[in-house]
Amino acid sequence: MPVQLWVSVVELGCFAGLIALGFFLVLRGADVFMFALGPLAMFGAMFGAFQVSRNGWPLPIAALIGVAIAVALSGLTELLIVRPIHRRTGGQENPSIVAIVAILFALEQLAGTLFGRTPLPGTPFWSAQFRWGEAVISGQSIVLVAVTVLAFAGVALWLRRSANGRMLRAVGDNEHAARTLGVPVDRIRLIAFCLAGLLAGVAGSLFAAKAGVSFTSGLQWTLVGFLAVIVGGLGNVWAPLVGAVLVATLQTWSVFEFGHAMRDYLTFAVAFLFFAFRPKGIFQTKVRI
Amino acid sequence: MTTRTTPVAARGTSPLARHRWAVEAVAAAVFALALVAYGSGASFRQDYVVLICTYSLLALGMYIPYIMSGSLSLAYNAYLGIGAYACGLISTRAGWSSLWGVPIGIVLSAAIAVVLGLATRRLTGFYLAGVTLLFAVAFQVFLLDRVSLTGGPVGMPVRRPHAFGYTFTRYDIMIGAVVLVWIVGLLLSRLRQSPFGVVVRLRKDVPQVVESSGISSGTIGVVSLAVGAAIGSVGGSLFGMMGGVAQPESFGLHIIFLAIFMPLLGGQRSPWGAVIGAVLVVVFTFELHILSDAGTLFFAIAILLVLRFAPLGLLGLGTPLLRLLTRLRMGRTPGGEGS
Amino acid sequence: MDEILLSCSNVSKSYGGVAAVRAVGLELRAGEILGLIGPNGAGKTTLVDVITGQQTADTGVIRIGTVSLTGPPSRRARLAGFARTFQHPQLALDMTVRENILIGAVPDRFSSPWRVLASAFSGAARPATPEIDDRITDLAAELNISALDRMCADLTLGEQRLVEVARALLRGPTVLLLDEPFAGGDPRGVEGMIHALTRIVERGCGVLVVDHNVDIVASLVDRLVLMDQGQVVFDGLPTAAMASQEMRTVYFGSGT
Ligand SMILES: Nc1ncnc2c1ncn2[C@@H]1O[C@H](COP(=O)(O)OP(=O)(O)OP(=O)(O)O)[C@@H](O)[C@H]1O
Ligand SMILES: [Mg+2]
Repeated sequence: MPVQLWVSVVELGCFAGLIALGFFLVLRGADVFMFALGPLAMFGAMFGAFQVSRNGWPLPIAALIGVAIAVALSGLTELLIVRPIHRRTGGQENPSIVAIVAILFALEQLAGTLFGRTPLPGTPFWSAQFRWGEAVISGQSIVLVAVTVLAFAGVALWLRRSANGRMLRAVGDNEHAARTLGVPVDRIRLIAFCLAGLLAGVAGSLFAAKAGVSFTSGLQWTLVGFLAVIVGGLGNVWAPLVGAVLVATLQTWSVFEFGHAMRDYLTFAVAFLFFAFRPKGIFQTKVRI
Repeated sequence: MTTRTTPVAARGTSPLARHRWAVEAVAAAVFALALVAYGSGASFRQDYVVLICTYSLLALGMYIPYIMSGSLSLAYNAYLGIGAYACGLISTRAGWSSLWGVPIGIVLSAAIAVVLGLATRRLTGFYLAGVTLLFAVAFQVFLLDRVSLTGGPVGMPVRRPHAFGYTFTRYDIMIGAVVLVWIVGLLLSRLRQSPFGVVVRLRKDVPQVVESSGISSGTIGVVSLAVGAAIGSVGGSLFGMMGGVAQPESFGLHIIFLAIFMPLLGGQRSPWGAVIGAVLVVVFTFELHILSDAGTLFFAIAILLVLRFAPLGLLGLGTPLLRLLTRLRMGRTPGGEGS
Repeated sequence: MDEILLSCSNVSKSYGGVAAVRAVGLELRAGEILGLIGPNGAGKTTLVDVITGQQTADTGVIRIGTVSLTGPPSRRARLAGFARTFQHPQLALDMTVRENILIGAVPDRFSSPWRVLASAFSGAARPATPEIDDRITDLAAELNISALDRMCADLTLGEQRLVEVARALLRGPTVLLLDEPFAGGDPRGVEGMIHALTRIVERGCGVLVVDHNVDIVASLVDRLVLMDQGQVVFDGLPTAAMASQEMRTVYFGSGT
């Protein structure tokens, strides 16, 4: 595989890793797979790209507001939809899933209606180009890698050091027990959703510069992150990043070797094989009472 | 023993219970006639009616596995697609009537549903939804990619169906579609009340009970998926025959989302909820021109509102009314079972 | 009648570090009501789960007659003729009492994929099952279950337990395992259950009753097994059990 493609692997791996880290946080904190993170990332990125390309806003302001919107929407998702439904159904899984899928769908349609149904170009934060051997590395990829490393280190530190971070695990493992122990479950869940929204918003606005963004990107992004979580597992904070890089390698290589269709077949096959042979890593975080 | 003769007698005399199916069949037939009347106008209306029927069959196909049995196996675009492409392939390649594509599609999609169901039998919830969505993506890519088989992005033509020397018109297909939805809806409604339906619904809430009663919960799940896939495939065949073409873009993930939401919008307590949901989708997305391309957005928002505030769907809004009526009736019938 | 229906030998099960059941041996004979008592966390529910297959044993053998019993709960239930109730009643709350009970009458219609498919078609053709409905009505009368068309969400805990017992009885079991059937029940319901139990025992069914209500259990059963910390500490006649040293040790601390 040419060196240049390895640069793509790193970019895609970092991006998918950020989304997967968002999944990780919500899974840990609320025991919910927040499928709407991809569309949240898309929504923030579309907002930024739309304001920059159509209204001439300065990039930092547009991107910042885009990220803020992602955070707010993620928090509102929990407050207005997921939490009330979770309460009403006594914590059943399917109603929450359907609600989250509905949000995913609504975000897609909202973005399509507000920002148009054609792809928008993203703008890089740092447009410098560096040659390194045969490969060209853009400033934007350096920013993406730096932000990813910072985000993972920050979340790892937060989970270990802060009171909220330590409580997060307790809530996801057994919400009922956590509640009886006096853990502020509602607050922890909200924090998890907002942090995930932040990660998604940042990931989206950084990655949009690579290939642009359209209102249908969200679902693809969700599925890449999903796969990263499946491959990496939930064993520790860095697992989603490892999974993401593996998935990015596989996808980039299969496109290079066999073309786009093979990428999607392999993606399904890998998810499937992991479920068949390594389901423990996924299911063990659940404790039955 | 006197205690037990009373409820039996009450069941025998309850007029609603005795004529329940007749009432339902007639009400649905009235609705079907209204659809046909609407479709007897301009030609594009026939397309709408068939689209409503296709979506209805899709949602009815999901009704057993998803609403009744609680399985989020979501690869329904594949079953629909198989139905349409089977009609296309059999009519263009083999030169047979595209009607043959219907049974072929049924068998093929049921077989795929069984394989997928067995392969994912240990998964539930988010993981099942995620992995079947990946399968759905792979299926659509397959349609785009295998040009020699599927015709690639432009798809393949589906010839008008013919039988005994008669070639069906678009109007005929529309009538057939409406009748089909009427039959499948009634059958599913009956199925829901039957022992099979009871067992499948119990599987959703209390799978342990199904298992400890000596019934394999996995088998129930797989059979439900197969039946659902078969119904969905028929919907796909109809869609293909009406449009005269089978194209990948018709079988993308968006129809899965629509299908998940249709029964919720209409109401989960009856298969007719799925049909009502299908009508609403088509009305929202095509018929309401004031909404232009925001129709799907309005649909999405409607879904969120229903999920949040009316968990029983639109039909569910009628339930309090029905309960009131039953109470009034029971008050008058001596030996009613509500004591 | 003292043919052995069900036997466990050396059965153990731990959850992570918790040894819930340790090297338990147990026999259940035809026509016998066996009581299983013990303090909270003694491992009673775990033992029932391991027998019926809701949990898999770490060690040990469970035999039905001479056949060793393995596999998922549905297979075990078919082979051994098990029916059981659950400590936390397992009822679909938005379905009627009748529907919740009905499943007990129909397992034969679902014994293979083809039969499942066939019953889907025959169900759509003929949804009503008057003959089963009559059986349910009779059983409900015997157990003092009043309204069969109520939603299970409207039932008290005691009524829910009655519904579970009715479902299990409708199966016509060879071995019936009841996990705390009397907890939260009213006297009429308990009376109905006891009546039904004595009836099925007469036709050779073996019954295992787990409950904390020692008075009811001791007066009902033929034999009493006492469990503590995962082990069987006493197995014998109820009168002997009530007077035993082990009983005092387990329930009142060091027995002096
Ligand atoms: N699913 C599980 N996961 C982990 N530990 C469990 C699980 N089920 C039971 N335990 C533990 O195993 C031990 C035995 O529990 P079990 O429920 O079998 O006791 P029991 O005798 O039925 O008690 P009770 O009278 O309270 O019902 C307890 O310490 C319990 O905490
Ligand atoms: Mg117990």
